[in-house]
Amino acid sequence: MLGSTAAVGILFAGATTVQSVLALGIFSQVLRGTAPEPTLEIVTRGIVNLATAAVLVGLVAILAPERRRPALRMTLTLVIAASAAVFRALAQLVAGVYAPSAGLALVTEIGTTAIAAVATLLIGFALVAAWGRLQTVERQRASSELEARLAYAELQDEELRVRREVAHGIHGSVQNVFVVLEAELNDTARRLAPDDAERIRRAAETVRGLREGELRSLSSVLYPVDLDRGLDPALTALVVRLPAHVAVELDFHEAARALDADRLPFDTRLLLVRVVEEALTNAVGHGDAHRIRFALEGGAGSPTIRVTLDDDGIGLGPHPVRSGLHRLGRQVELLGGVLDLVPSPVLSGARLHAIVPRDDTPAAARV
Amino acid sequence: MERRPLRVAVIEDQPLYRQMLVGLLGSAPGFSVTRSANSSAQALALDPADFDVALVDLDLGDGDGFDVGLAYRSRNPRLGVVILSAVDAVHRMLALDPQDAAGWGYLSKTSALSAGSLVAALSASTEGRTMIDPALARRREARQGSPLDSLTTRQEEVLSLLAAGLTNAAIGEELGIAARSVDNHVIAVYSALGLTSTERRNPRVQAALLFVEHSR
Repeated sequence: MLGSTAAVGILFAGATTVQSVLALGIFSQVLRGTAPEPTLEIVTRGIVNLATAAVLVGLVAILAPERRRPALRMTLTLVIAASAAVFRALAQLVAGVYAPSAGLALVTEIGTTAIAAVATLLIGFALVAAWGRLQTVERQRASSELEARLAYAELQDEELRVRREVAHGIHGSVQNVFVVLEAELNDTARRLAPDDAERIRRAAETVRGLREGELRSLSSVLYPVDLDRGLDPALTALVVRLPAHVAVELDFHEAARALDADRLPFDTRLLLVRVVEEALTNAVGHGDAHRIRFALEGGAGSPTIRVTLDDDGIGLGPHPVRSGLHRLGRQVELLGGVLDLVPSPVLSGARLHAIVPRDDTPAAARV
Repeated sequence: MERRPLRVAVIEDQPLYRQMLVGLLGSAPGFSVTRSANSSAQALALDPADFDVALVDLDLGDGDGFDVGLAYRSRNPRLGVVILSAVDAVHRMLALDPQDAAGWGYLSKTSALSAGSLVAALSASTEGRTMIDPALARRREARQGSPLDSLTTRQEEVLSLLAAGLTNAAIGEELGIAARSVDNHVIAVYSALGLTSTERRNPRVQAALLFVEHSR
């Protein structure tokens, strides 16, 4: 309020000074009979007008009309405007702008000054109200954005919790039921005639395949194996599953253990594991790779974590299968990182390259 | 003189499976189940001085079998620990300190329901051998480009059986070859894997772990 009053008041003060002297040519000589001196006139009137604006601002600061109820606010506005107008008239009288005998001119001056002061204050009120509305809208926008972000994070946490629970259920009790079923089938087979026994053994073998294959991959799709134990165990669980015909060169244990020791945030850990998992699946599943080189960098002191995975597969091809990587790439970007799939400079296939900041605060959430 | 039966602790959270294990060991001569627990918390409350070998489920619901085994071993370094798992997670053995991996075993839950495998695993473990489920070891293939890739088929068979906790004599019997040739194969395997029998670490334990590391 003070700022707007001062701004508008000074604007008025300056404008009336210049207008009265230069545009209208009102000189004190008319009243005092002295020689015209426009510069002195402007300075004198300018000082008086600025002092009036200062009085206006001072009274606003003391009485704070903008914080009162409408009726009181109007009364205070009139009081402040009248006070400023009287002050201006007296000041002009003292400064010799008017002759002491110029009674009518003084009354007119008081009237016009009061109107200008009321206008100044009304503009001030309007500006304050507009600013207030703007702030409320901005606050509401920020608050609903925060709410949406929190709700999203909560949903993600809930989804992860359910995934973890279901995966553990499959890993634990469902697997055990299948183990017992397999044992029962094999035991039954031992008591049967060879032909029937063979059928039962095949059924037991199917149960084993289902348990070791489908159930296991279902569980790891839901929630990466050993993720809760850390980055190093989770990455190890991924690479040991690579088929034996794939030669591997691994350089990740040291960095992964350092990151685990530094308590890498869970979201970053999950994302890194998903990126490596997707890259391995692409390399071996779609790229028919027989050689994989996987390196992880970013131990203590490094602000970023770098994943480099080269393979000797078919390379990017005309239509690289990267829908999964595309989705993961967006998640990496949300954390402020980058993910690229390029031709490998060291092996003949593709290179997946990802850089993820160690701070997992989403870029969108940083203020 | 009759030997004192081996005291076994069974740590398993699935009631049906635990009953089956206790039942099997109850009818196996030379073993007696003296302690049992159905959670990691219960298991950690047991005193590992009260048994000779612990049969521990990997996935205990409220905790991890390896963590329970490590806690036991820190209080009773001579204790045998056999990890049981419904899924093939034998690579978890690689996280053990190689200096302290002797006496650890890994058995699939399927194999553990056959009395022969169970007894063999518990015996190997209490005798300080590192033991990988023979059924799992048999199925493993050397990884392309790994140190195991350079072994002959016979050497690979010998290493697989060694990793399964068999002594050289038992390996000879299994393969139908003389114990002397098993010794030679074992020496060749050590050399291919860069192990020497003079080093402080037990090369047999090391070889078993390298077998797991470089096979699938």
